[in-house]
Amino acid sequence: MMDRFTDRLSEYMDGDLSPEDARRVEAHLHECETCARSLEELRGVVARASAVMDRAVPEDLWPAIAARLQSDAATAPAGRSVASTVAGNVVPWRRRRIALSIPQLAAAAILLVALAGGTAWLARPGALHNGPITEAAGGPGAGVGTPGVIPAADTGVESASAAVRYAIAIDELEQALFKPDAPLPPSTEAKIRNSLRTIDRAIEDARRALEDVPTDGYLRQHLTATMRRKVDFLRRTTRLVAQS
Amino acid sequence: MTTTSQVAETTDRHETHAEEAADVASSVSGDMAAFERLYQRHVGRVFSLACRMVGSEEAHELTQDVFVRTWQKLGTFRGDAAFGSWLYRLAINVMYAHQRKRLNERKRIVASEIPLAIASARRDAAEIRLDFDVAIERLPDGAREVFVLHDVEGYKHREIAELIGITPGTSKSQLHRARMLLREHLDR
Repeated sequence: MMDRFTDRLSEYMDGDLSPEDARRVEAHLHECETCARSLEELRGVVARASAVMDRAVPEDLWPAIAARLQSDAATAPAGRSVASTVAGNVVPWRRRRIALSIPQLAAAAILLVALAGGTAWLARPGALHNGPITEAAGGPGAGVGTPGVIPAADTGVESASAAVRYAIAIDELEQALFKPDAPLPPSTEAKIRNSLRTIDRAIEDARRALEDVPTDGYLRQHLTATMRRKVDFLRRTTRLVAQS
Repeated sequence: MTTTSQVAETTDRHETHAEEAADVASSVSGDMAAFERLYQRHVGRVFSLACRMVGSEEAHELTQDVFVRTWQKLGTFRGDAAFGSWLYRLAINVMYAHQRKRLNERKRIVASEIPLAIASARRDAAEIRLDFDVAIERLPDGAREVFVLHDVEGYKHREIAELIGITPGTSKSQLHRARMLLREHLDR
């Protein structure tokens, strides 16, 4: 049978009653066998609840989760730490995706000025040693001729075109360097490819860091410089190979 | 006095914490392999929570939703609390949002009309535990969430009130209601 104390038993058990109310309940418990028994049963429920164990997951849910993460670019972690991105020595899953990121497009747009003449320009001695490239994507007057000033990211069609042209230029230089009909000595080719992998990792790290902070001028400059480093490396190596 | 086993246990705990922190940092930078390790470490508890909060039928999908949401929100994890605590709070939010949506879609049965009867009266330890879980799932909405959060997960009434948008007083009364229903069920 329920009485007015029954509804207070959980609070009494959890210590949520005022001292005065707790004393009243205690006094009642000495007189009411039903409430005393209810209290013991409630204690049994709480004890049972605290002992419940995790359920065994009947199937591996990870494949379905991974598929969902990869099916939607918008699911990327937000606000990623620049420090952990730059320092992290990991293989990001998104590297497998074929996509041109905004920072990559922006950096490529900056490089486009230098690449306007295609690979012919790249053969020009000193083309990549003429100081910082700062004036391409910022619009009229944005950072022109000011070392270290990087214009805002251009996310438009021109940037996409720049990225494609940058990729084509890199591809042409690599084809010129690694000719099937004039192979390099294996050890030389291995060293060159190893250096290219190192530069690619640096480009990827810089790109990912800039994705987090798209307005960071230093990061954009770093990405641009790293992409330029790859072009410069390929150009110099191609020239050296041609001279040898 | 600190025993060798206590030292070993403490060391293990620190190593686990360090490994988890490293996996969180890697996941934030987009490393899915690290995120899969976090999933493996926490899926049992998240799935169990889902079973008790929304029922085992929907637990699979809700568990997936929780980890997708976790991946999306990882960048907001500041490390003020343990990653597990942060994850479970996020899981509760996801599950409770799902519950609210479901409640809006169909009228719920009045609590007192929900039978807590269970199929089996066998009483070996494993089955008693299973029966108890089934009984939790069959608690009425409101009472079930509060019971799971308070008595199973260890949250305080104040925290539960914040988590699911009720008053601490409502939390207390729902908890008592749940306990009383389970008590009657477990009596049989």
